[in-house]
Amino acid sequence: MNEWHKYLNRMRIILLFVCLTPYLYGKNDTIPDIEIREVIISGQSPQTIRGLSQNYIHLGTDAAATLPSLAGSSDMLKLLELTPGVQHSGDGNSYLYVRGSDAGQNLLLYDNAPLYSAGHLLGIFPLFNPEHLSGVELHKSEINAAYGGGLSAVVKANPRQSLPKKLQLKGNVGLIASEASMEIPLGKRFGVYLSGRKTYLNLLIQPLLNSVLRNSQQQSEQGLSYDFHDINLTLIGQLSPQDRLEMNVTGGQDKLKINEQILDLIGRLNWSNGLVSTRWEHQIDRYTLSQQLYFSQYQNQILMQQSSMDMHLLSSIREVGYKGAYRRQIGLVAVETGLQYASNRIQPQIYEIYNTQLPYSQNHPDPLVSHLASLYAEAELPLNPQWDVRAGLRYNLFFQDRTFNNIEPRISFHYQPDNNNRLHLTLNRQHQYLHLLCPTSVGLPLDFWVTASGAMPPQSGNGVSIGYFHSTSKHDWELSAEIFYRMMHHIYEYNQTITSGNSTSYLDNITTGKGKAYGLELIVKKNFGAWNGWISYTLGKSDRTIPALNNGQTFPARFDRRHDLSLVATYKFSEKWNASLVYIYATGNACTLPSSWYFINNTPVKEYAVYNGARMPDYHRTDLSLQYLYAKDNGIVLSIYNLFAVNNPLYVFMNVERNDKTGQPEIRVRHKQLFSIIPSLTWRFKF
Amino acid sequence: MKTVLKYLCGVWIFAGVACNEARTIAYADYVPQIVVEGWIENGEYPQVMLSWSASFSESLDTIYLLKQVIRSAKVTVSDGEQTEVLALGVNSDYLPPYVYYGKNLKGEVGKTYHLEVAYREGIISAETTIPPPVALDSCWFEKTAPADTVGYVFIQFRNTSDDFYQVATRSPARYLPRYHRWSASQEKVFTPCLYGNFPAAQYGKNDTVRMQIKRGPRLFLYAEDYYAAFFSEYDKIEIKFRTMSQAGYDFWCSWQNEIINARNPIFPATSNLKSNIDGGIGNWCGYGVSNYTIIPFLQSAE
Repeated sequence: MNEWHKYLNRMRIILLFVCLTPYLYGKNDTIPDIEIREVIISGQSPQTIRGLSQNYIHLGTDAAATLPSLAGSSDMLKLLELTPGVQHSGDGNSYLYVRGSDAGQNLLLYDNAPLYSAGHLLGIFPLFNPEHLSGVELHKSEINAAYGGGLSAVVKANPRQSLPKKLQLKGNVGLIASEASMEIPLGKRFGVYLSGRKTYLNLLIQPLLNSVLRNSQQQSEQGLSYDFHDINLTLIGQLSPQDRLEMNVTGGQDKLKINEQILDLIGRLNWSNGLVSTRWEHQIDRYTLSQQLYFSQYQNQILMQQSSMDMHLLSSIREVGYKGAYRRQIGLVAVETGLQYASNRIQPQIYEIYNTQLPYSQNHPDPLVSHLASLYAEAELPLNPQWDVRAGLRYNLFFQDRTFNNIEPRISFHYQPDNNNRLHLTLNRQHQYLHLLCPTSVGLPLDFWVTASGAMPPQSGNGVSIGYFHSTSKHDWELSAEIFYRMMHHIYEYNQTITSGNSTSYLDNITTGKGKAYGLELIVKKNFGAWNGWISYTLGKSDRTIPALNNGQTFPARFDRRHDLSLVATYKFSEKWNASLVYIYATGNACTLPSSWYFINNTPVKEYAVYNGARMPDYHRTDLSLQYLYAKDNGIVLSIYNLFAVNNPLYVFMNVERNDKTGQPEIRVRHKQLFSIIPSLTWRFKF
Repeated sequence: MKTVLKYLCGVWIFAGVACNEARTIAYADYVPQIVVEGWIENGEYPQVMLSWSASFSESLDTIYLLKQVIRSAKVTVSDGEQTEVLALGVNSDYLPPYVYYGKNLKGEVGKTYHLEVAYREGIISAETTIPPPVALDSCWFEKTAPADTVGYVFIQFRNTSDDFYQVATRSPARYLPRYHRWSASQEKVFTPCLYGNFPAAQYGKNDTVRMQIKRGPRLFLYAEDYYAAFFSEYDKIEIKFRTMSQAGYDFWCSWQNEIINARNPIFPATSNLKSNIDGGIGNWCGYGVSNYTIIPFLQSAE
C-alpha cells in the first residue's frame, strides 16, 4: 500500500504540474518579446543538413539524394553518421550509435511512432524509403519531454506532410533495386503518398554474402537467395481549417535462404516489420491538440536444417500505443503537455533444436507483456532578450513482473547574444524499458527485444552537454562545438553461443553493468558557392564496467571511437551537373580477439584476453557521386562506394590451422570484408 | 585555386591508396598460462598433458612449440587413500606429444581424484569424480539409401544416469576393399560427437533414448576446412559412451563452441573454455566409460 501511496502522490504532483504549467506561464506576459527560431537563409545552396543553430540535425531527402550511396538509394540513417556525435558503424550494420550508445538505445520514430526493425540485410538497403520521407531529424542533446523510452538520441523519420497538389510519380531505378513514390491528390482536402521498393537481382548480392556467410573458400554455396520489398502509405486529410488527419502505414519483409550441400545445411531467415499510425491534430489560434494511435511490430524467424538436426529461432515485438499532446503558446511561452501509453507483447528468442528422433533442446520463454504510462510537460521560457530556458519533466510508470516509476527531468539553458552566436547547457535524465539483445555483430536479423523486469531493471542515463554555435553574418559559414558526458546504468551485454542453447535461457547469457561516454563534437559547414559541405569530427570515449565480464575491469564499448571524422563536399558544375565526395575516417571497432592458444584434444583452441581489448583496423572510406540532371528531378546518378577499394574488415578471424604442406600448426589471420569498391548507376525520374 | 585543387586531389588519392596498405589490428596483451588436459576413466590409469598457452604473435616453429611443453613438472594423482606420481612418456598420437602416465592407480567408479601439479614453485590443482557408466543397449551404422557408401551411427540406451553424457568416436582404420586390407588413419584420439554432450536430465529417468550421432569436428587433423559429419561404410568406428560431471560437461560444451564457431560471424566464439583447474586452464575429468566398436560393412557391434 505504501508503494501505491508513493505512486499516487507522485502522480498528483505531476498532474498538478501538467495542469498548472500553461496558467503559471500564461500570466507572465511581461517577459520581453524575443523569439528564437532556426534561421533559414534563402538564396543559398540547398542545405543537406540544417538545425545546427537549434542543436539538432535535420537531414533533407532531396538534398541527400546528391550524396553517394551504396545501392543507389540514400540511406538517411547512415547519412546521419556524417554528423558529429554519431559513430560510423562500419559496413554491414544498420544500427545507429550516438554518443557512445549501444544498438537499440535510440528512440527510432516513424511518424512519431516507434519502429523496432533491425533494417535490411547487411545494411545494403536503407531502412527507410527516402522517396517517401521529407527528412530525418536527430536530437541528441535537447530531447523534448515528449520523447521517452530511449537512453540515447531520438531519430525521427518524417513522412511527407504536405497535401499533394497534382498526380506525380517519382523514384529511381538502380541495378539491384528500384523504388517509386506516387503523389495522389484526392480532391482539395485529401491526398495520398504511396511508395514501394523491391530488389530484383539477388544474384548480384550473392558474391557479397559469400564473403560473410561462407566459412571456407573451398566450399561453395549451392543456393543463396535474398528478396526484400517494402511499402509505405501516407493518407493526409485536411478535415477543416483546424483539423488535420494523418494516417501512415509501412511494412516490409526480407527473406534470405542459404543452401549449403557440403555441410548438408539449409538455412532460412525471414524478418518483417510493420507500423500503422493515425494522428489527428486540432489547431485553434495558439493551441494544438494532437491525438495519435499506433501499432508497431517486428519479428524474425530463423530455420536451419543440418542433416537430421533442425534449429528454430523466433522472436517478435508488438506495441500498441496512444500519444496525446496539448501545445499552447501563452504569450512568449511555448508549453506542451501530454499523456502517453504503450502496451508491449514481446516474444523473446524461442530456441529449439530438434534431432530426428527426440527433441534435443528447447527453450520457450513465455511472452513478456508490459505497460508503460507516461505524463510529461515542457515549457520554453524566454528570460530576457539573450537568455531562455527550456524545462521538461516526464514521469513514467512501467508495469511488468514488478512496477517501476521514474521521473525524468530535462532542462536546457540558452544564451544568444545575437543571431550569430548561441551557447547552451543541457541536462537530462532518461530511462529505457525495452532492451535490445544482439547475439551477433554482423548485420543479420538475429537481435531480439525484451522488456524491463525484476531480472532486468530499466536502463537509465544522465547526460550533460555544453555547446556553442557560431555563424558568419550572412550565415555562409557555420561552426558548432559541443562537449558531452553521459553515465548509463543497468546496461546489458548479450553473449549467446550457438551451443549454449541446449542448457540455458536467454537470461543466462545476459550480463549487466554500467557505462559512460564522453567526448567533443565539432562541425564546420559551408553554405555558399559552388563548393559546399561540411567537416565533422568527434573525439570520444565510451566504456563499460560489467562485473561478470573482464574480471570486473572497465573495457571499451564495441563502438568506442576515439576519432571519427567525416568530410562531405558537393560541387555544382552547372545546373545540370554536380558531384559529391564523402570521406570517412574512424578508429576501428573494439573487439575481443584471442591472445593465446593451446591444444585440447589435439585441436588448437584460443584463450581470449581482455573483453573488447583488441581493435579492428581503422575505418577509411571515400565515396564519390556524379549527377547529371537532364530535367528538373530527372537524371542519372553514378555513385562509387569505397572508391579506393579499402579493405575495411567486417570481422577478423584468428586461428591456428594446419599447414597442409608441413603438417605443422600455423597462425592465420583472416580479414573478412563485406564491401569493396561498389559502383552503382541510378536513373532518377519524376513524371 | 585549380592548382591547389589538383594537389589536394593528388594527396587524396595517395592517402586513399596508402591507407589500404598500412592498417593493422591492435592485439590484446599475451599472458602465458599453464594448460592442463587430464582424464581418468574407470578401470584405466590417469593421463595428464601439460603445456604453456602460446602467443598469437610468435611464429610457430618447432623450437617454439617444444618450448611450450612442460616436461619437468611433478604431477600427482590421489584418490584420498593412494597417491601416485605420474611419469612422463612420449605419445605421438597427442599434441603436444608428451603425456604424464600413471601405472598403479586405476580409476574406480564413485571415487574422487585429486590432481596436483607442482611446477616452478607453483601448485596447480583440480578434482574430479568418476560417475557410474551407462551401457548402450545397441549401436549401429545406417545408410540413408542402399546405394550410399556413407551413413550415420545410431545409439540406443536407457537413461539411468544422474550426470552428463558424452558420445565420442574415432576411426583409427579404414578397410580397403580393393586390396582386402586395413589402412591406419590419422584419427588417433576420440573426439566428442557434434552436439555429443548432453545432460541426462534432458530425458526422462529410465527412458529409452535412441539418437543419431555425428562425427565431431576434427579441424586440425585434415586439410583446411575438411569436415564431414558422417562415416564411411568402410570405417572402423570406435565409440566411447561416457558419463561425466557438470564441470566436464561445461568444459566440453565450451570446447565444442570454440571449435564449431571459431569462424562463425553470426554467433562468434569469444569465450574462454570453462576450466576446472585452480591456478591454470584446461580440464581434469573423470569418466564412466562404456566402449564399443562398429565395422559398418560387417555391421557388427561388440
